[in-house]
Amino acid sequence: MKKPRLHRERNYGTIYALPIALWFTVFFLVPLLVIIVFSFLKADVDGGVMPLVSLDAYRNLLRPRIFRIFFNTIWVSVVSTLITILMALPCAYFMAKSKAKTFLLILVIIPFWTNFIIRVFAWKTILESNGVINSLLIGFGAIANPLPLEHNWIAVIIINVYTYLTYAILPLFSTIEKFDFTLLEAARDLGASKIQSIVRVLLPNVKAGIVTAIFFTFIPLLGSFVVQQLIGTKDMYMLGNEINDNIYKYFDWPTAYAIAVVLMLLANVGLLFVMKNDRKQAKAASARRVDDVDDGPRAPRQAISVAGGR
Amino acid sequence: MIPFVKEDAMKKKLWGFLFAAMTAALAWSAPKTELYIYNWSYYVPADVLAQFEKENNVTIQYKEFSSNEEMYATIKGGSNKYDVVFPGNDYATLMVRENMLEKLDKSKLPNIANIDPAISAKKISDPNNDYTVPYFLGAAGIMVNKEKVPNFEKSWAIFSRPDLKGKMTLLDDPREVIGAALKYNGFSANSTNPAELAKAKASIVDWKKNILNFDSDTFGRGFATGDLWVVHCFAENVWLEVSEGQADNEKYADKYVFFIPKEGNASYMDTMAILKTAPHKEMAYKFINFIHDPKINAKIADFTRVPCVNLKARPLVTRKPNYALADVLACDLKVDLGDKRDLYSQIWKDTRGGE
Repeated sequence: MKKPRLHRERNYGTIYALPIALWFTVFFLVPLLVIIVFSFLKADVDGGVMPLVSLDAYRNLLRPRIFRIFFNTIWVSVVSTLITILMALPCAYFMAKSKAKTFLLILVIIPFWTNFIIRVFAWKTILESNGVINSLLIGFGAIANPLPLEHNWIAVIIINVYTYLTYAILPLFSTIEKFDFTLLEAARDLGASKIQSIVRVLLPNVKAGIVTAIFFTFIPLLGSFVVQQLIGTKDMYMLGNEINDNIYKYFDWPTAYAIAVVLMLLANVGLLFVMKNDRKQAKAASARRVDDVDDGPRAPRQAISVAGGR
Repeated sequence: MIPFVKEDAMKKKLWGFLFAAMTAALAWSAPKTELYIYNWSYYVPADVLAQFEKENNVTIQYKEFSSNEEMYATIKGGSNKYDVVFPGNDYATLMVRENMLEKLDKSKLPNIANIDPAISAKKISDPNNDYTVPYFLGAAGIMVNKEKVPNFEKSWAIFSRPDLKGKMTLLDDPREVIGAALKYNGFSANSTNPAELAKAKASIVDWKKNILNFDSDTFGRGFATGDLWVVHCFAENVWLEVSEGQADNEKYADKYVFFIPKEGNASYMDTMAILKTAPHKEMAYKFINFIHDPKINAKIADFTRVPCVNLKARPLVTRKPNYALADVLACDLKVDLGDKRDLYSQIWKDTRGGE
């Protein structure tokens, strides 16, 4: 007799995944394909593209001008990302250990309730010559003339850090929250200094969170243009501005798309490299686990398997 | 444009409220006709719209755009609910070419006879107002803080002054800046002659040394705080920042001055047109005719502070415009460059874009 098939044995995975698959196809994959395909077409004078295959857009990128802009973009993005991560890590650590997690999370998310451009303008009111900081300093007699806080790279980087801090804190928080803090005590018991325990036990275990935070910060920064446009000077011109000007000023969509394609390629190469590295480490870790099965302390072993599992 | 963010939001709320009030009113009264207008932000005073609604028992659905590109993309993208649009002259040319605009029946527009022929003649592609009716003719210029810069010549040469380094901005707009540099060198603001453009480029390279930024968004604010002393701008944008809009700008006449440089500049014209697809064409004709009623047009000129385009309305205008009619008539109206735009783009890439 045929056994009645149990309801829960049926695999609903495909059906559950259908809405998101459709969503991604329509709103992610199709635009992505449009960007890639258009970057290989010829620009139409009034914007848009003509159905003619051409490498003009990519040839336009091989200019010294573009390399200079690219260099600008990379260093600003790298510095902004580094500072963001360095600030987000202790913050996420504190939040994860705090009793008021939800409250702190809400505090971190609150700035998101306001439009980004309005927040940049808020920074203007803080930094400008008769802004909050200068008025205070002049009011207290600390300075006689306002400091030039606006219109420099530092201001741009400060606002970049401010903008992406939340994006960095959230993934870090969610990984650190799952971290077993008794491991730190174990490390200290076994003779590690406070710094050693953080560098050798905590950081490797929250690596996935750090990598996510870096990508959430670095990749959008590569294409950013608003901050330097509103706070910067004539020399602060990045790839985001170049993309924007190609669309709105030069009506050269393929070149704008080609820049986006190159940026996407770079980001994905970085991502693949990190993932490959991760897998290698995981393999090494599981090999080690077999080796020190007798003398290794229990807790770090668990820690390694957590890291390896990601 | 970004400086309008706050006001836009307020305006949206206001319109939202008006819309709700109107819907409520509609539920009670007999259904009214509608008129869909697609226009720039801050171009028609609200009481003018209200008066038209009252006189014609019509509800105006008013939507704003912030650039020609946006308007063109919306209409081209198939939106067919709008009746009256306000394209810039260069885009109007394009829209006529694309067969998007209705050829106007002038018997329904008696008031357009009041329009200054010198203004209409500026529209090289449509000097007889066959498709488009001038709404206004304006130009960018330079605004100077007289307290910080007491001595200056009303010339584009001001951007060559090293003593004002870091205190000046140029618009982040290739047509405006290259147009200005062309006029400065004595050429047409629409020139496509490579030798003339090369000279214009040299001027921009020179100006770039002294400016803080190419800025179309925040210069008004920097000017109001005193960080910027000389800004290449549209007058109305700066007045929005230094005073409560243009309403009381006479109060600041000692402190700030706006001028169109003596060498001239590029100018722009916004026009009114009826779309081929307009669902309420009769009402659209009535609206355009209403705008050029002398009394109404004078009211609009007092609001926009742009030289009045309507001959019969001119004596009724009570407030001094931001710049003289003669100055703006001496400017070259920007035309659509078509496939010559690349020449301008290349200069912009070489100057603005970091070369």
